Formats: sequence, C-alpha cells, structure tokens
Amino acid sequence: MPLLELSNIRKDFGGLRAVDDVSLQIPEGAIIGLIGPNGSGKSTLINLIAGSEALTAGRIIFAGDDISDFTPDAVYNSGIARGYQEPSLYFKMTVLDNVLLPVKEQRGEQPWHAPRWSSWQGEEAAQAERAMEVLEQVQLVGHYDTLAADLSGGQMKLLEIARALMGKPRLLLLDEPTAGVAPKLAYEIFQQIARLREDYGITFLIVEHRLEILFDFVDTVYVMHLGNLLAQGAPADIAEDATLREVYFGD
Amino acid sequence: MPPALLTTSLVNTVQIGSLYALMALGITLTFSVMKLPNFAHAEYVTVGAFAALIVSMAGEVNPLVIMLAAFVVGALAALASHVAVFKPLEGREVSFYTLILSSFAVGLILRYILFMIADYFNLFDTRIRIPLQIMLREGYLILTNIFFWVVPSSILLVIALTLLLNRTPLGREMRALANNPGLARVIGIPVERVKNYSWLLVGGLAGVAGALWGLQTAVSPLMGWVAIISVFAAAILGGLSSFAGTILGAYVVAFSENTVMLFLNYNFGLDLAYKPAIPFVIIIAVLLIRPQGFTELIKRAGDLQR
Repeated sequence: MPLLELSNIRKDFGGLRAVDDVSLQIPEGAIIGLIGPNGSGKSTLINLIAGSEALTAGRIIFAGDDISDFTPDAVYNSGIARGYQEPSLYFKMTVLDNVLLPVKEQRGEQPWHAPRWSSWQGEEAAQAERAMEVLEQVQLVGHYDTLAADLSGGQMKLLEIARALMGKPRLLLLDEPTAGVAPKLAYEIFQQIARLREDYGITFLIVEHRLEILFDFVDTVYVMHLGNLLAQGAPADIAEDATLREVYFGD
Repeated sequence: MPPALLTTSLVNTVQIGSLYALMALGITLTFSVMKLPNFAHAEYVTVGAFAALIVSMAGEVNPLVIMLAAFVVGALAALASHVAVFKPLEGREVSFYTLILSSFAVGLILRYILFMIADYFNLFDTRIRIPLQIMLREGYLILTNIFFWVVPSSILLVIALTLLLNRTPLGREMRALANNPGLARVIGIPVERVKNYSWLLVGGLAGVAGALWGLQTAVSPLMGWVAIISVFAAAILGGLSSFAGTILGAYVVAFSENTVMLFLNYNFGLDLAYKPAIPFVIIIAVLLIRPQGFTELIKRAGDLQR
C-alpha cells in the first residue's frame, strides 16, 4: 500500500485549472522530486495535500485514510508536515521555542498546572532535550537561543525541517528547500534529507528548481506542466527525456 | 512645590502606576494575542471591583479572598465577551474597526448592567471595607496598609504573568499566537483553547486591578471607564507589544497625572481639572513622535515581540 495516493485531483482557481486530473502514488520511505516550470502547479499540489487549499475534485488517501477534506492542522496531526518556499517561522521567538511549539498535550499548557512548577517541568525538560537532539540533527544546536529572524536563509530552511521533525511526521512536504540558499548549504540540506530518510524512514515529496542537486538524491521524479503530470521516472531517465527538455528548458 | 506634596504625589504615582501596569498588560496581551484593542477591558476592571465589594460586605473578609473573587468574576466576564461577541465576529472576518466598535459596545453593555446592579443593591460610591491603617510614618512619607496591598500584589502578578509567558508551554503558545497566528493553526497549536485561557487571564488580572482600585477609592460603575484612557496611554507607550515598555509606560502616565500635574498646578496655576487631558496628550505625542513607544529602547526585555 502506498503511503500517499492522489487520485484524479483537480484544482480550479476561477477559470484557471491549476492542477488537472493528477494521480500519483508515493511509497513509504521514498524521496520524490516534483519539478516543472513556474506556474505548472507544483506548489498548488503541495498546498492541496497539506490542506491549505480545498480540492475541486479527486481524493487524497494518506496511510489508508481519506484526508481530502482535512484542514491544515488535521493534516498535520495525521502525520504530514510541510516546509514553505518562504520560510514560515516564529521569527521573534528563539530557535528552541520554534522547535518546541508543535509539541502537544503537555501539562504545562493548562494554566492550573503552571504555578506548580514540579508538575510539568520534567515533561518540559524531556521535550527540550528531544528538541536539542532534533536541532543537533540539522546542525542548529549551537543556535538554540538565537532569534529565528537572525538566522541565515539556509538555517531557516533547516529550522523548518527541525520543527516538522518534532511532530514525528511520516511524510514531509518541502517546497523549494534550497530557495535562496548558498550552493554549498543547499547540498548539505539534501544530505540531511537523505540522512533523515535513513534514520527515521521519513518519506519526502520535494519541489525543487536546482535539478543538479535534486537528481543526486531522489528515487523518482515527477514532471508537471500546465497542471498536468507530464512524465515520471528515475532521475537519470528524466534528465535524458527529450520532450521534457523541450517544455522545461525550452530547447 | 512643598516636600509634603511631592512625597504624597510620588506615593500616588507608585500606587496608581502599579494598578495601571496591571490593567495595561491586559490591553497589551489582548492586542498581541487576540489582535484586538479591547475597550471593554475597562469594564472587566469595574466588574472585578463590584465582585470585590460584594464579597467584602459579607463581614471580615481576608483581602486575598476578595482578590480571588475579583479574579474569577473578571475572568468570566472577559471569557463571556469573547464567546458571545468577539469570537463570532472573528468567524465572520469583520474588519478591525468593527472589532474596536464592538468592544466599545460590549463595554457599554457591561457598564450599564453594573449601573442597574449598583442601583438595585444601593451600592453607589461605597468603598471596599478594609479598615485604613497607617503602616509607616517617616517625615513626610505616610504609607497605609492599602499601599502595601496594592503595590506588592500588582508587582507579584506582573512577575507571575511574565513567568507564565516566558517559561511555560502555555506562554510559548500565547507568544506564538502573537507572533504568527496563521502558522500557529497549521502546526496544530490549539488556537481556540489558548485564546480562551488568554481571555481568562486578561480578565482575571483586570478584575484584581479593580479590587485593588476599590481599596483606595470608592467603587462606581464608571471607575474602569475613567481609568481606561490612562491605561491605553500606558499600553501605547509600550508599543502595544512590549511588556517592559508597558510597565514603564504605566508609571510614566501615573507620574504625569500625579507629580507633574501637581507641579504644574503649584508653580503655574494650571487647574487640576486638566488632569484627564494628560493621557490624551501622551497618546497624541507618542503617536506623532514615536509610534513604536518604548519598544526599540528596551528590545530584549519586551516579551511578546522581542
């Protein structure tokens, strides 16, 4: 059974069909690349899966459950986390605070526990320890007390991934994880992604424009064009595909 | 200005400034977390004062019990206004101005309900019954037991609120809501629950402020409304986002209304009737010259938007 299955999903914005009858299946533990020219519907597809946009038609099945009508927080709770093209963080809070926020149902979230320090401090300390481990994985541990706004572009992307990991997702949707990131750090971000798959079996669906890096790390590449899935295959095959070169690179 | 007058006015500055701080922090918190400049905040203060008054009429009641009653009733009034008015309006995505006007309306409704209650039980211009005692007399300095209730209680509550915001998971969620409400929903923060708790806290603190206010002057249905412009001036001095700035702002407003006013009266013959104009002058001056208030001056210390 695939972890994520899209069947004939469609999204219209007024008269514009942004996503047209897309079906695909993503097996658990895969790293999937999603490419295509600007305006081809990639980001819309991510938004549809994450629940930020409502489907016009079609169904989304995640881990056997129909999540087609879920709101973003319900999608998140079902095990799908996401990163944004523009880093979406609590910029005026510290890196550690950012990572601790997705932790839910702590006793310290109830005000009557708050004055009784001992009743929730242990729980909080354990979460903070786990948060530090997660930050260690994305090499941000040295910045735990920095305000998110003071991080570099690449570090913000890593912090988004760290926050997503805190919620123990099974599927991570990343929209251009290397946008605005220096080439060296961009490669490191993908190395982190590969390591997270190895260590935790997390599945990734990644929209990316830097094909030279993407193709080194993904199992399968899907190509979108004008809202349609144009091609799919192993990165090596896709790179050789003649029709693809035409729509994508215009040559 | 004679030293006796100066000393008294400074004592008033500390006492009233502490109460302004307690009320203004609620305004700042509501504005940051709920995105609402809430004028009905004045009435949570009055509601708390009446709750305190009624409890105090039962006989010899410990002031702590009085404050607890004021906290509970103030908290419920705030939560009720959220559930009955602000939440449904937010659901309809009304404009910011509609929300401001609706907060005026909520304030009016609460205020005139209190007028009816005060009329029915004949509670006009009654003071909360705690016998006045002089605790300290040192030259011109006279401190009463009221001072020792009002100032430490306010300061302790402000510290408790700051700790809650900065050191607990609930506080972290409240800061997250203040910082990026859209993202808060997406990563699964229980937004409605955090808002409910924030309302309870804000209303409760306002209620306690009302009880303490009622210790020093008479309780009346207009008392919160009379104070609200001063309180807003304090919150605006804090840039409506910084805790430290709001507290500093509260003492600046209280100092202007007491010590500066007396100074102008004594030396330049300015009539004391101009006192209510002072917070307006402060608000206009801040908005014209420094709309961000004290926030930039005390950057790291501001809690909600540091």
